[in-house]
Amino acid sequence: MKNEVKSEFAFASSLLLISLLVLWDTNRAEDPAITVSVSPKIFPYIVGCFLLLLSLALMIQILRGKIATPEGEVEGAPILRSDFRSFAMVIGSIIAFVLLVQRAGFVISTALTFFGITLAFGVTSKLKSLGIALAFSLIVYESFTRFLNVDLPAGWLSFL
Amino acid sequence: MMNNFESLLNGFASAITPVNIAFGLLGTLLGTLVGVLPGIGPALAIALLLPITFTVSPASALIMFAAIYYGAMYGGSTTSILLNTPGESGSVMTAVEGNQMARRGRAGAALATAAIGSFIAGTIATLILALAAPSVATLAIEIGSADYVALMLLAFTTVGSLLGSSQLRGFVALTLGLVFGLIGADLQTGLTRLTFGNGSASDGLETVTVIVAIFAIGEALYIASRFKNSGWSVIPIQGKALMSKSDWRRSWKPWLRGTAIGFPLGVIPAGGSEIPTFMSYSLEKKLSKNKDEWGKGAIEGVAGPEAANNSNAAGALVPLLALGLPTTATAAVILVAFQSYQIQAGPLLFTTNPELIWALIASLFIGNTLLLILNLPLVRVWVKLLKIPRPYLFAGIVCFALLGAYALNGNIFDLQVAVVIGVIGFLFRRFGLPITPLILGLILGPNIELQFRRTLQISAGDYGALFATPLTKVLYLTMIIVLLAPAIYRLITRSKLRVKK
Repeated sequence: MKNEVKSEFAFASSLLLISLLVLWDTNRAEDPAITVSVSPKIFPYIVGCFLLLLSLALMIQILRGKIATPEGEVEGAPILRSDFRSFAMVIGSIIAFVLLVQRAGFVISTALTFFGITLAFGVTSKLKSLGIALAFSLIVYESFTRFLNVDLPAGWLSFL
Repeated sequence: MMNNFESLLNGFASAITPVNIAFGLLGTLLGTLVGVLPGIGPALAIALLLPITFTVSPASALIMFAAIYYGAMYGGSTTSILLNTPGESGSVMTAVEGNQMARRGRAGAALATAAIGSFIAGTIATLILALAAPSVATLAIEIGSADYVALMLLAFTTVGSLLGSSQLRGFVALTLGLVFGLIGADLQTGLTRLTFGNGSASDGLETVTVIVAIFAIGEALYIASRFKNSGWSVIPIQGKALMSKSDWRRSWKPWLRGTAIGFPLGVIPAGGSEIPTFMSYSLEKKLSKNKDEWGKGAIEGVAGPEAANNSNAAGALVPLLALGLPTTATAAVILVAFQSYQIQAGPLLFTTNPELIWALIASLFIGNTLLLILNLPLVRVWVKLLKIPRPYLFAGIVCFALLGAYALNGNIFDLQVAVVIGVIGFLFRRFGLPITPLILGLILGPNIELQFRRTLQISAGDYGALFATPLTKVLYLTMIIVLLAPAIYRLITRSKLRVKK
């Protein structure tokens, strides 16, 4: 199997897994104590079965060689390879925000995330990027907390 | 009851307050901004601004959102003409001839015919909207829950079939949206579904989080991993954004024809603006006298699709306002805005909230005029935005998205959801799945379940009630036709080939 087919087949299989998960969770849940004319399990069963059928159909289609055209690419053109280093840097920066925002506060975590993403996109001047990141997060923090009354965590900078 | 025209005049009166005009102006600027920048669209912009619904009055917020919706289309045409990278899906056809015109030094004329065409189409279409929507709403009051189930299923079918590279992929996207919509406690019985014991998940996924993550984070991941290095080259504008006499002569008919194609295809859920703009393009090409100009910058190829795009957007507001049924991603987000004000979009809207709805419709006229006035003189300013280096642009978009996801409830769970949905957004782009069906599934899923149950409750469990009314029969028949259309089309072309042989 070619690599593109393999990765797309894996994607379709994960859809199949999701459909099985939906069906399993629905099957496991106990019927509610109140009597209702339509059980809350019917709709999930329908959706789960539908996704099951669709993912099987997609798998068959992929095995027959009908693979996707990624967005922004021309049909039939050789598929670009994903650059997973940049991908990991972007997702890493975002996860850093999730882990840090309530501990270090909004300003520090946003500046870090901003800086990390500019690095992932191959920014030329790192120092300039760091400066812009800090300015960006400070301006956003001040304008949201002061003018829009949105509560954002101050974190390690709360002494300021 | 007042007639529509009087109501519309009253709408103008309430839309022309300093506050509402300010929000409208802000909306047109923001809309143009997100339209110009490739990679972010009106749905994302409005989703990020949804938190303002806590503090701003419904009329002001909705006026701003509608202005963003219209503004994004003006901005989108600028990008597709000067950059050959469509800013949004409705501008794909504009890019074909528009970019060729720009390369031949006719960028000014292309921008002008796009803006003036959008204005004319938007104005005519909004007028039809003002006349048609109340009548549709009056008819729709009779519509029962079974009809709603059928209507939503039809919308699902058309949106799933017509968007994306294949019918199958459209339906996969839709069904995944339905799965996301299931997550959380069932409203009627309290049964928690797909939460796997997570307490935060029992409130369900925040629509805003999903929309923001799938557009902003998904796009950033996708661009970072594939198109990081392909830069943008903007074609400079020579001269003023003006049209010559012959440009006018060649443009006005395509404008009107585009308007006529776009509006009805917006009203019936035809899956967004790709189809009407494509139809307008092919029609103009067919009607054109000098065919060899096509592909080298024929102005009709810009005028027609741009008009079709705008009138299509106005058309899509008819089912949104009159039935509470969104057919595009942006309309779906506007529906969420209505919900956060506890306003039920649908047939009763015109009787329960007449001031709001007429102010909104009036603001569309005002916004359209503002856009025409602002756009042509300011086009060089907008073009400067395209010079923002990509790293900063995407870093800013992602940070705003994370802020939006976090500020809503101030909890980490929403951010975790955003990360997962962002990765799913990446996978959708990588494997050619359209995003709009997912959003419609997520937002309409709980709705269709509610109407489905209501139908069966009334009929005491008789499933026949789902197909009982004449309207449901018509809708299901249409649905079957839409489902089979691609297969039938393939059969016909194949048999034609055989005849030729």
